[in-house]
Amino acid sequence: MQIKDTLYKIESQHDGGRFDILMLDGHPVYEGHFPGQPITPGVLTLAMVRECASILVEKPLSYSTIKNCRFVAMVKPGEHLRLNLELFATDCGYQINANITDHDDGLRLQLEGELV
Amino acid sequence: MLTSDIMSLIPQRPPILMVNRFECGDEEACNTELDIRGDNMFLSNGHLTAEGILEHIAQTAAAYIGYRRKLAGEEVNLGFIGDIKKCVISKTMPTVGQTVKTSMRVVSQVGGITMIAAESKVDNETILSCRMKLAN
Repeated sequence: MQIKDTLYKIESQHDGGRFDILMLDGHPVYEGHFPGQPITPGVLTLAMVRECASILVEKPLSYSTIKNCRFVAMVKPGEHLRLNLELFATDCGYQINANITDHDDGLRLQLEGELV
Repeated sequence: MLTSDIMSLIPQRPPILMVNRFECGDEEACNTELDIRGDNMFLSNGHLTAEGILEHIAQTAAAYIGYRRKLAGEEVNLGFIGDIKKCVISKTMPTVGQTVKTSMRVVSQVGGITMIAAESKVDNETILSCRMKLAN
């Protein structure tokens, strides 16, 4: 699965792992999550973070651990968000610290984990 | 109770329906299964992603909560993942044609917040385990 350009669009990418993101309307997942009430599944925001991390290191990554991921507030199609990513190379992959905020600095997601 | 009528227990619908079978034996635990079909939206190069298994676990918890609500004569409501902790993911992820078997138990339930521990296996090998908090 790739959800970049179907579920979300990267509007701009900045130094230091910062991405400005637009959540797109019309992805088929919203037919089922939930009928008549589109809300972005939390696990797809996790997939979005992983895809953006993969762009930073220019290779496909997958999660090996999720130490802590807090879904602080809902994400909906049409929203403009900011993703801040920090990656640290380890023996077997990357440690990742990430957060997603809205443009009022409201926290939506906070993640600590590892990618390989 | 073994039910194939999973849609009576959870509000999710295709293409993000990630539980095929649900079995609830006692008060505080349940088991579910997911058959990985070729049209699963969480496939990557034929393998299910960790995000897909986490959605399956979240829907396992949702089915448990929905089952208990139905028994209590209440309606099934929308639920959301509050957090994921202590999640360990196998290097080898399952492929199309395989079945994920998940066992889940309730760690605590206070008001609308349910904390669960879950383990997902394929062919008796653990592929993912985690703790998850859900808000209903």
